[in-house]
Amino acid sequence: MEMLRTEVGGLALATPLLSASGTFGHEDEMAEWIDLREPGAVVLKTVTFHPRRGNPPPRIVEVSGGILNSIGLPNEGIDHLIAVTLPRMRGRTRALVVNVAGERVDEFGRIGEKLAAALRANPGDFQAVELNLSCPNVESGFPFAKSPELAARCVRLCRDHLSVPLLAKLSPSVADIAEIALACKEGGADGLTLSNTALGLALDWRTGRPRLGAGHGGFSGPALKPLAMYLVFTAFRKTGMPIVAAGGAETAEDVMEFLAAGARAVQIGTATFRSPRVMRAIEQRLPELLAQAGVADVAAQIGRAHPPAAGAKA
Amino acid sequence: MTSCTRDVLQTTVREVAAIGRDAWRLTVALPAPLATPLAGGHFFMLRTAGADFPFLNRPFSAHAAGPDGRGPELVFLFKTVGRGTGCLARLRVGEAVTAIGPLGQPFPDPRPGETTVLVAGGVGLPPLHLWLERRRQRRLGGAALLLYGARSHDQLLELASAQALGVEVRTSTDDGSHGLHGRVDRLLEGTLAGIAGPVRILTCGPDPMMAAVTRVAATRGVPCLVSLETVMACGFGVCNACAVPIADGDGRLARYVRACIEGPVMDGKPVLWQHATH
Ligand SMILES: Cc1cc2nc3c(=O)[nH]c(=O)nc-3n(C[C@H](O)[C@H](O)[C@H](O)COP(=O)(O)OP(=O)(O)OC[C@H]3O[C@@H](n4cnc5c(N)ncnc54)[C@H](O)[C@@H]3O)c2cc1C
Ligand SMILES: Cc1cc2nc3c(=O)[nH]c(=O)nc-3n(C[C@H](O)[C@H](O)[C@H](O)COP(=O)(O)O)c2cc1C
Ligand code: FES
Repeated sequence: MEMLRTEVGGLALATPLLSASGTFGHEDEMAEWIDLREPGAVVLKTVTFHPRRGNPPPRIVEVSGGILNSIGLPNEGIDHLIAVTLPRMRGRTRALVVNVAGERVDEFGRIGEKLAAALRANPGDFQAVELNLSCPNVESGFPFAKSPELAARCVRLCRDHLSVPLLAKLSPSVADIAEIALACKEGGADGLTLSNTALGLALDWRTGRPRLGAGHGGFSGPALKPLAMYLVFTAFRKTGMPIVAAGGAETAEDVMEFLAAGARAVQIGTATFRSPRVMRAIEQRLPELLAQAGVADVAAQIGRAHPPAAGAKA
Repeated sequence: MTSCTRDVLQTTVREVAAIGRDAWRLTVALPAPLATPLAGGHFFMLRTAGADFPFLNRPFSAHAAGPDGRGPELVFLFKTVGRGTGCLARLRVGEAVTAIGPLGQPFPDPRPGETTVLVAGGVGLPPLHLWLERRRQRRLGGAALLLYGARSHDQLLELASAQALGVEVRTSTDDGSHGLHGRVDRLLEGTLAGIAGPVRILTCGPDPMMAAVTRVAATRGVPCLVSLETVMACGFGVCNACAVPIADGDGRLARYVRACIEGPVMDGKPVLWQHATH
């Protein structure tokens, strides 16, 4: 539908709805539930340079307004993505976004190199790359997304190899989102994904022990939405960068709200666990809400919360 | 004729019956018969339709699935242990329940010439009950018997229903109030000693009980399939919450598998039970 079209950092999207990494499987698991061509883009689970086993269970606990997870990025590694996952996904999505993370700074460059080679061999296998900068850095134990310098270096190392749109996915658990965002722009990011899960903790009050196997975790779900809204709004105003929102969106109303704050597209994450076809329901309702809001299309809804001069209205 | 495949099904509560201390039987009506008959171990992610609370759906194994395994009614047994099961226990007749499923890899059908020993612990009965129901409905061959253990006789849920499925049922209770005084793995040891010929064990219950059953099976070199009840968030393979630790040949953690799509039924032998805390 023409009115749902959008674009973010050079990634053209038929609808503003994307899956959120880590909530839509490693490859085509969701094909049993929906046509993989329904989302504007499918974003795959984070892939690291080396395979990872992930964290000990329990990996998810329910808390007020959402869930805490400490999944620990289990994945088969970049070579498996290129050899197995990309061929399996070929031609099955409207757009495929590969989400990658290094566990060390230099791995962002090595991953970028491998992805570039994969694209040369099979052009069109993926349309954009999302960098998960919330992955802990094994060299310092500190997520890249907390330091402007580190974040910029990671983006730069990947950018040097890749010409497809590059989105930097940031952590909400930082003091100044705009500072990190601008560093990513310096590093060559075409856009931002705001955001990943927020750091959180749940304890068993009887024993005093964490309820998650790995200790603390990342919070997601409806209660994350106001936080993500603020990040989107602030980053739009202060950086003008193209933004994909992520955080607690469950309904078409939520999507409209994120668009108004300045997001050009919205990822649906935790909501999929509750209802595997939630994205379809949202898409079906969007035209009606656009009409109710008195705007012609998604493009006209983007950034409505800001004065006309603010942000990038490209 | 329309029928339901694996789907997000809108079901209607027919009955919520108290069947023991904190234990309930929930019967729901499907909107249409299932396209494929259920087998023991198939599960559904349940929630009160439209409710915001609890946040996630909860997994439950089907206990009974109608005369041909396709409905029109599905039966679940559950214990109230927290918020989600508490909500299910408060459901009223006529209310809508969303059931995502059927999900997971079920127990295999019996093999002719082999004795299947089913070992149930407490509220772990449902997948084994459905296995027996299917065996009887389809007149599948092979001998079978059910060992059913619980803390006390009032926690041997739906015992009469299990006894009506055409196989011998032996019980054990920790307090000696019904059957053997002791744990069900002891009952299993005694039972295995009396069976000649090939045997396969299918079990479902609390982790420590399945760990003990798996040890007994391994000692005797008997294959043993378990139905795991890990914490789940999605139930269909996309979140990685339901990690089951799997050992390498030396008993060290080799990898995790997803209980919801690679299980919940799987070989019990390589499961690292001491890591499978939830
Ligand atoms: C495939 C599968 C089939 C299942 N079949 C049945 C069934 O037929 N009948 C039944 O009664 N239960 C079954 N369970 C377990 C059931 O899903 C949990 O008891 C339920 O999710 C608890 O929800 P709650 O909100 O009431 O508890 P919560 O409030 O989430 O937790 C309360 C307490 O229960 C514990 N708990 C939570 N989840 C589990 C779990 N999966 N296993 C053991 N303890 C848990 C928590 O650690 C906590 O201490 C099954 C689980 C799986 C994965
Ligand atoms: C179980 C789970 C696993 C996740 N795994 C990843 C991941 O591998 N990579 C990543 O960038 N984000 C991951 N996320 C974060 C989501 O993509 C999303 O940014 C976040 O959950 C907020 O959106 P939501 O509230 O709609 O879920 C994960 C989230 C959850 C709940
Ligand atoms: S419960 Fe989500 S992957 Fe198994």
